[in-house]
Amino acid sequence: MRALISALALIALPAVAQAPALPGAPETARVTAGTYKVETNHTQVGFAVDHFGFSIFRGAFSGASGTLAIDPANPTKAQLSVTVPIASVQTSNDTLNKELVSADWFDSGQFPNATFVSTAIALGPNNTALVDGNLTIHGITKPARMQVHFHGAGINPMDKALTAGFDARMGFNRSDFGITKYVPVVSDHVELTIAGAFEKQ
Amino acid sequence: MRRLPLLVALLALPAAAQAPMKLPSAPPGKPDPAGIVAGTYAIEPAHTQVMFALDHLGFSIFRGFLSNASGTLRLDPRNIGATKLDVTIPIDSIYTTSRELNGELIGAKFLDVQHWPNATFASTSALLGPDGKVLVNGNLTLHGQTHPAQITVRLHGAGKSLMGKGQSLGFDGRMAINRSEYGISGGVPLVSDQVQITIAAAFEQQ
Repeated sequence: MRALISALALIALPAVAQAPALPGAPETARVTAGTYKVETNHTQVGFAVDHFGFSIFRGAFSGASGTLAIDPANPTKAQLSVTVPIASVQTSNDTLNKELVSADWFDSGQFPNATFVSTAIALGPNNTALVDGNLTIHGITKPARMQVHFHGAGINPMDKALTAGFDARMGFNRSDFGITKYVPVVSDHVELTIAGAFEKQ
Repeated sequence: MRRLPLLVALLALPAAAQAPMKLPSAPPGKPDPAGIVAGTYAIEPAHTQVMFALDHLGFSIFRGFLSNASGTLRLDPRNIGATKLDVTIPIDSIYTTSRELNGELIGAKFLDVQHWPNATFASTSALLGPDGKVLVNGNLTLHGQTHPAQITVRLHGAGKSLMGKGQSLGFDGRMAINRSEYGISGGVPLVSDQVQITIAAAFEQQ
């Protein structure tokens, strides 16, 4: 009997060694009901605009905070509220970083944060959802829709927290929020590519 | 006749005062390959960005950037096969949303900027792919190690330059590599081996 178990263990060994050691897996069942807090260090809001029709120009915001209240038995009732500090803006150009927070663009002195607060959620195929909400930028609030894809969930081996992550996209016209500098040669349309990580409280 | 240029100048004044850099009323770049002029182009570093994305623990995607690229592109739209692209990117241009991580990434555990200050890509061949995309094959050197790599490129826009005398050109590019092949295996597999690279490349005709 001992020998058999031992043999099984040996046979099993290569498979175990090959098995992905990732803590996160795209299994929605791993997301348990409760309140999750934005995991700031792994939440990034990337933006992209068109520059003169020649190329795409990208940057990112970080330092996000907020909460996601979710019950997997009733996912369309989930509530998301996120705040992103404008001063976190980063591009490959230091001069532009300073310009972007100035009154010519975001005016972070008067409007230090952008926020998104969900109002309705509709589930889509393949672990996706459409999250409607109110987006506030530059002191102006407009309805906006986020396309969300569940990335993965599991226990983070570092801090043992149940972590869930999402990939999201959102598009809007910045002129709707009163940020019109260089429109239309720098595109009015802004595409956001968001990595959102949350830890259960 | 004298008065007409003056009137034009007066009308133009408020706009000029508003925007010292005289901006066109519409984006000059068009995504039309017919607008590409054969010639030698230099990278326009201020609008060339290399974005990389990795999977973090299976929870989320983590992105960062490299910039300050330099290099040249020789291009003839009637002879795609003769395309020649050479790009150099300084590793110390790397940035993410974590300053602490930026320091780690250029350290010996990852990109080891002291020994390998630059990444380079030198094309070896180019061919027309599907949907007007161009597949650019070349040698990617990263962390002192060189491997063949392929960039899938799409014309973003071409048109008359606002900065120089010739044409401006921009491309969107995508590439995927396994970083362990370049000896950058810190954190693999918890932080993914595969790196997805999304490139915005801008060029000015020389």
